[in-house]
Amino acid sequence: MEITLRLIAVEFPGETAPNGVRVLEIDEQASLQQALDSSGIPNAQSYMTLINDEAVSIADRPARILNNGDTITIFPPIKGG
Amino acid sequence: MSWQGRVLRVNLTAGTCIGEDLNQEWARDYLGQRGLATKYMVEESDPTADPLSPGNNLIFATGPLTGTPAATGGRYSVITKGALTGAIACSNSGGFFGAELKNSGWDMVIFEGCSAKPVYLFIDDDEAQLHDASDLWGSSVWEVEPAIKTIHQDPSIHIASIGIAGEQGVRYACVVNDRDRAAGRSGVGAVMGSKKLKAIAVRGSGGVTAKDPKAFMEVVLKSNKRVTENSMGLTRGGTMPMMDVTNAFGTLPTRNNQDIQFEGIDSINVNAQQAIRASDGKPNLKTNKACFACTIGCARVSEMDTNHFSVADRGDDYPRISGGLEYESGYALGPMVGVDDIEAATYANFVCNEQSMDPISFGATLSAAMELFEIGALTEKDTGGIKLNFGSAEALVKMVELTGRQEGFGIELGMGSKLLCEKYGHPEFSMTVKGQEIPGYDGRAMQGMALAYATSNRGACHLRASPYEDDFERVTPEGKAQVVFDTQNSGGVTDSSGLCAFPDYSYEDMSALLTPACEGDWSVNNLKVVGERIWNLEKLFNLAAGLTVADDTLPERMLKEPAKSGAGKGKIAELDKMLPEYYSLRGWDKDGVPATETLTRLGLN
Repeated sequence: MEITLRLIAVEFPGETAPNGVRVLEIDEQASLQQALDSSGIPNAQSYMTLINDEAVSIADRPARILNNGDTITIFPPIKGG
Repeated sequence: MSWQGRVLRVNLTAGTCIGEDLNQEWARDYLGQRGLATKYMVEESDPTADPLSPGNNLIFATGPLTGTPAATGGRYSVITKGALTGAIACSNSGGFFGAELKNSGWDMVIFEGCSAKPVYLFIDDDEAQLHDASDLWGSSVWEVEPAIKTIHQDPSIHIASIGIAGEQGVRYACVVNDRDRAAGRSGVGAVMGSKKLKAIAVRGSGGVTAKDPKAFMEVVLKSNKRVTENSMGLTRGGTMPMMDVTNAFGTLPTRNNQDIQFEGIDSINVNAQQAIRASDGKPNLKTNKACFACTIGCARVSEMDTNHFSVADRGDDYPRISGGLEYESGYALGPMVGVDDIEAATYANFVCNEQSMDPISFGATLSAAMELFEIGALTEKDTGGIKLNFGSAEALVKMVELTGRQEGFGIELGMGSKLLCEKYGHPEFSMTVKGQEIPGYDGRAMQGMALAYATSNRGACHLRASPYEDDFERVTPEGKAQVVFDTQNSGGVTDSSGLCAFPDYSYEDMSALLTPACEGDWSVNNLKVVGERIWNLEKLFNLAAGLTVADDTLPERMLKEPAKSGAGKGKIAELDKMLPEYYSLRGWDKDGVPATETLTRLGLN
């Protein structure tokens, strides 16, 4: 199935600008954790995540099963300034 | 050691500058800078005094690690009763002024009273003298800094000063040092202006001595390496990447928090800042720069498009390269006012530095005025014929100039959002806590930040607690009180040390640095007590100043209007669920008053 991976304030490998978007092919019944592991993003599990605008905690990633057409947004755990 | 052990007391009414020993007992209880200066405020300044009256003291304070090579050890703070809030104010700045002050041999300068005529203080190591500033009154920060350097024939002097906004009592006027570093919040610059104090200029040729120099340097070398390695993102993008994060998450205040995502984000984010302009082939972002002893260099330097309407007619003398947008100024001068013109926002930021205004409060006040205008509570008759519509870069540019010079409708904007909205009959439009405009995070998707705003002793603030990671993981109120409690206390230690918040120093890091630097018990356990003691001391000042539980609240919009989109869609800030738990953790009663046992435990009674 297909999901959309949206990166915020971080770049896809090989790209020079942040905020890229890619469509990924993943296995049916894949969890968010599995999708991040197969995304090719270095240290993908260290980022914060949204699924379709819903915040998903690190602890909930293994049990969170994705659906075809989901948009995953990942962003670094940056702090304010 | 590490402290210099000396305080400069300047009585502006009498015109005297007298040195005295630092109260070392207080230093070991409150560390320095924010904590120690608050102790001096509590002991010496009337908390009920009008912030703009001679009875309100104004303190410039360094920490024990200011002026040392510990990464980011260049910080100082301005502590007073805030002109914007009527609460304790502690506004922190970087640049080089703080280290220069410490190197001149003073830990802090306490200003009392009010001068009869404009003056500036010149500190030349252990000598300090007030000078007539009548000829400098009415000048901007960018004019007064070179003027004072010329007077003293020394380009290496570092200066903290106010522009016209500070002189004229703009409620959110700040103190600017080194042209574009600012003690930005709560109106500390207005207090400075009320005292007819134009500037503090410092030449410091000494150094800072650690208790155990060899051990200190060993810790510093390891610590600085860690800070450098962990901060590459800040070096590269500054704080601006946060705008994409808050927009994606749905917590980016937009059009006075009516929205929390901005459709114009791509024109005003970090990519826009770094993109090559078609008009002149240059990017807005020219380079980054670092403060004293900083291994990060998060500060932005921007070069404006000379063809942009804001500067096209300013003449060749106008400096088009200066401190650029960072996240907070970017949010306030961009999405908050609905403007997606990065050049206009950059120019507005320049003017804020030039005339000493907090861009967060200015932007949020203009945003409130725009909402008033759009519903007809304000008209062109009020604004001098200017259409204050959201998204108008022309209105942003005109209003920042008028406010900076305190002319026309800029005088009204200088009151701040709270007084402005009350005057025009819609206090619910004011996005403030304790009178201070909110920074760039809406409290509906970030519940921890909502609690942090409501309980911040200096009014709405993004730096008085650090709930970011927890907030970005879950949009529920459970457990937020503990996160806010813990990070409020640890932040109090960092802010009292002379270091910056960005390296995210842990208690263990602080203990490792402070123990060889200065005398006292700087164990992790004691630092936790120091942080909690500082927070409670600030609270006691506020209670004595007349603030109550009713001030620990949020803008009505965050409490009643569900977020329209993003991770917090449909949610309000659930303060009613978090505040009782927070008070309980603090050992305060239901009215937010510290219990006797709490004060006894912290040595505050």
